Amino acid sequence: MVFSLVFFLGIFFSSMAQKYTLSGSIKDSSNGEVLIGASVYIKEIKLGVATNDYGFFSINLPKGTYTVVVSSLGYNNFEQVVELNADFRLVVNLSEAIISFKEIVVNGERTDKNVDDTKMSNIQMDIKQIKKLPALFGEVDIIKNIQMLPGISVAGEGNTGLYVRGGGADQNLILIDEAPVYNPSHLFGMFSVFNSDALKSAEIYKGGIPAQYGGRLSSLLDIRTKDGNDKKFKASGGIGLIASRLTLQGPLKKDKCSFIVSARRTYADLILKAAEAAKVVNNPNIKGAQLYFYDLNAKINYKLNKNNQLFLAGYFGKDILGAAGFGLNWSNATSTLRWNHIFGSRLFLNTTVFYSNYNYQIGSTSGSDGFKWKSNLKEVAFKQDYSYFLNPKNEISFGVGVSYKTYQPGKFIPDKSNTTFKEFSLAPYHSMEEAIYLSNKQKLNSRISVEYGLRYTLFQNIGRDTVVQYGGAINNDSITGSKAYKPFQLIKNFNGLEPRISSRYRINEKSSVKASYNRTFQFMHLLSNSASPLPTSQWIPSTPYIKPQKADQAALGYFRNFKENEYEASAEVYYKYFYNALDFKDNANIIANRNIETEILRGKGWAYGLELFLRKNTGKLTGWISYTWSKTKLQIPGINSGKAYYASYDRRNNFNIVMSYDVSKRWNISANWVYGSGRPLTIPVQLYQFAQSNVGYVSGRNNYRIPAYHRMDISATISAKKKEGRKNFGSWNFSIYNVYARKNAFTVFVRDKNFGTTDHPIYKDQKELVKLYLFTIIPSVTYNFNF
Amino acid sequence: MKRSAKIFLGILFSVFVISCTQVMKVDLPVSNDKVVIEGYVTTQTKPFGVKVTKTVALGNTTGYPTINNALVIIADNVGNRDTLGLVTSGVYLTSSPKTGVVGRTYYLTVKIDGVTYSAQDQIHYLAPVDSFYAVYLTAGSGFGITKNGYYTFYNSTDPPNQKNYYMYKVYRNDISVLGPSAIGVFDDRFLSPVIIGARLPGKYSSGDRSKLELYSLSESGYNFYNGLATQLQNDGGFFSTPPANAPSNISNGAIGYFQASDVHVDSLLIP
Repeated sequence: MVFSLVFFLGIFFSSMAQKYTLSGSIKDSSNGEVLIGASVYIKEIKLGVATNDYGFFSINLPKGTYTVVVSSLGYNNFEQVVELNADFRLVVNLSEAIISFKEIVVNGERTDKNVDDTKMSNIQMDIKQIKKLPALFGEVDIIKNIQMLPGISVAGEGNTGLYVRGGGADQNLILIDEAPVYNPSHLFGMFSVFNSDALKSAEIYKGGIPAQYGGRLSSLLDIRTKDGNDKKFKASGGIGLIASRLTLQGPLKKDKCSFIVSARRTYADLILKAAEAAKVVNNPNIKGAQLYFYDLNAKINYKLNKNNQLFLAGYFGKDILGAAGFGLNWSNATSTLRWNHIFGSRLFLNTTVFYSNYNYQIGSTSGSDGFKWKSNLKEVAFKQDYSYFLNPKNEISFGVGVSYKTYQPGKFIPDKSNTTFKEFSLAPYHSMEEAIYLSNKQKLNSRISVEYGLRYTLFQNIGRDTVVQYGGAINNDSITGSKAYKPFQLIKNFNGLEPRISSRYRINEKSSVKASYNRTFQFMHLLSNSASPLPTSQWIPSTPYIKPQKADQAALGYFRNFKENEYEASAEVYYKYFYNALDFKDNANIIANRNIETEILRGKGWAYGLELFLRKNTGKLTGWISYTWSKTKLQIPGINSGKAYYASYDRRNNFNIVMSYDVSKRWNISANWVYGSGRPLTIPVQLYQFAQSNVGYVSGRNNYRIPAYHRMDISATISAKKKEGRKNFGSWNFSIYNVYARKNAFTVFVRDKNFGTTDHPIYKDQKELVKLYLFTIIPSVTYNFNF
Repeated sequence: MKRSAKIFLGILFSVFVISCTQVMKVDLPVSNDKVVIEGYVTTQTKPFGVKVTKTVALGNTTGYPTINNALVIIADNVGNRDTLGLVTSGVYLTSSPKTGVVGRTYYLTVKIDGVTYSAQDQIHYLAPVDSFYAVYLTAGSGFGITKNGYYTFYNSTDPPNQKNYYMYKVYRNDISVLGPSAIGVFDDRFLSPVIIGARLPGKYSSGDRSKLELYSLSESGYNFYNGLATQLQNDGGFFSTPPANAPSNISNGAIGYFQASDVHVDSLLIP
């Protein structure tokens, strides 16, 4: 299929008039890192292209003399005149823009990407900037910064779940170097798995998801790690309140081969031990408790020659929690091998093989009830992504992908000394997924650009498995038997055809209107029955009884830049409809239940909203202001008496302001303020007595809203003086989280009055409503260094 | 260690692991009162009992209203039929002690002001408790034990090739160990056919008396009590399931449960 496609394209293109190709790559001059999304603009034809995810660009032009202007956010522009009378390969090294504090800042040509690009509902994060912003416990987290963007909702204080335009936390395709991460959270979501030291770029798509990516309904978060400095050896790191980080990078062979290793470990457990030793903590329940996580990112890249480059990248992260004989740990591992190949000068191919594994284990130490419970999800995949730079007006992308997944819901292994429980294992699920896509980014004329594509996915639930048969309704009483399937034998096929289109109409130099539509399918489902997924939440594939989920989204936006692109502004509205939205029956039994379809209900959902965004990327003052008004509802027969209800992450108003100001070369001060309307949750409205207990009676799903959330954080960063010839320098970051110490409700619930006191009443019919709050004011300090 | 360092560590640690709660006042959605029925038939020889009450709004402090004018009848599938009499507010008992029989289905009918509520449940077999004993354990010796003391265990069997559902009640000196906010309910998903040393909750000292009541449940009974347990343990949080009503087996919109169970009772004196 691929080859015939290439062949077809070959014929198509060879019939075109003779032209020459200007291609190449854009890099950071200090460390050789390629720059993603850098703009390459040809003045004479008033057209430009952007570098792809591997820093490569290509543009096909008639013979002539051209002025090439290269620009990228945070770098000085580069201009070169090129005489094009043969194919030309250009490597541009951009130097970092340094703000002058003596004179008025003038930065001539800023990119007008915000207005010009066909992409909408998409934001690229500036990794350097986020390191200056305030952070909880001083631990910089890309996900927490993404949560302050419009259209992205936060479910709870400090939680790293992303709820994008009405989608659940399980509807985000989160990729690290092209490999999906199935549980991107540490410490129950307090931190994400992404160590900011290792990251090169992070881009979130809330809509207009390119046809290259599929598999999740609501968003794509494309995270790429650094390739490693190919010029000189560097060490950097940081020491913070709860974690330390160390990154080593350097050339193995100058300009040819480089590596990077980045590690992070928290030490809450070490603090606990010290606290116990000092007798400031004396709680037997947490004595000897284990509570830590670590991350390790590693990457090697090797430039074989100008047309071939290899990347080998790995991520491993683990959380370990344990106290009083019980333990829970979970880990993610991904590894990616990529090969970039350039055919001629216009066809770029990236071939990826990746492996991703998520697993968790619960255990209890020995005794007659000691046990281990293990579960995992493994994926092995292969994909090929081609970009063909046809001419300055057309950039074609196409590719294929195959993936094999094994989902082990759980194995229960009693200890040898265990005499109470028996060993058992739930049969794993298996699936194959094949996808093919084709898309084109086309500049129709000076005003209109369109990116259109189609993605087709074949998803197969396969053996080995034993599939339960139901006679009629799907419940435990209607089981009529079961059917066994051999390894790789087809159980059920699912098809998904996903059209993706985004278009831009340029009104004038400063403004444009954009519209997009995309359909997405999700063939795997996360079994989570709470507002936030748990590390123990299980992924399962679509099966004969669990249909794939589907979403349609349309968005319309107005984009305008001010003051010569110094300020970027946008206003977008969206409407999204969810088909086969999943939820669980009341009192669903989802633990160790292989017939999970008996507990699942299916319905529909819809979400709509308005997003306003103003961002300033350059100058002494940078930052953004965002406002979102949104509504998300679900209607699932069997829940809330069949009536529509608000999703548990539905927040009407969200407002964020993020500001960072460089006071001098050495000083930076930053602040942010976040506001979110209260999220809905379910609370009992009546009480009754049963046996000894006071029990709540619930009138409906999500019948109450917790109070609104708001918080202000501030930080100051001071860097050591940079001196001529001085190689190492450090910086201190002081952060204060929740400056005005607001006791924001994390949740609200009903409990017995006098709970936990010695005179806990047994027959007293009194309950009270309480709010739980996590953090008030938290100061933190972090020291970062560079050698 | 220096005092300042101690304070620093203390602050650091409290920040990390401690969250706080605060009582709130809120306006709640209004909803109508419901009839609540709690009925028991067991294999223990004592009167069958039914309690009929009503729900109250959350925050109400006047207590649960009882219903004292109900007609309460318990029958079984072999033709026995008893009308229960009101003995105290809301509590109805058979006039003489009765013994439930394993395998029989029992039917409850409650008539209140012309409205009939009915329910049924079957008594499932409960394998006997072979032994009930206490062991002195020290903190950190496994089982998740953090305090020295006596802990109780029992041995039994789990009949194979069928689903079995259980509930236990444990008393220390006649006071419920679990208290009002927990229910001891489990199924045999993880159970070994021969159960040796299943640990029960509660820590005991010398001279304490421990009493174990083990009940068999039907599937609907398990679902009800499991729903109750889930709700009572629910912190309404982020990682909890949304609170839901425990699924009743009583018709016509009444809440509560009519339970028929085989029971084993055992007690011991801690040495």
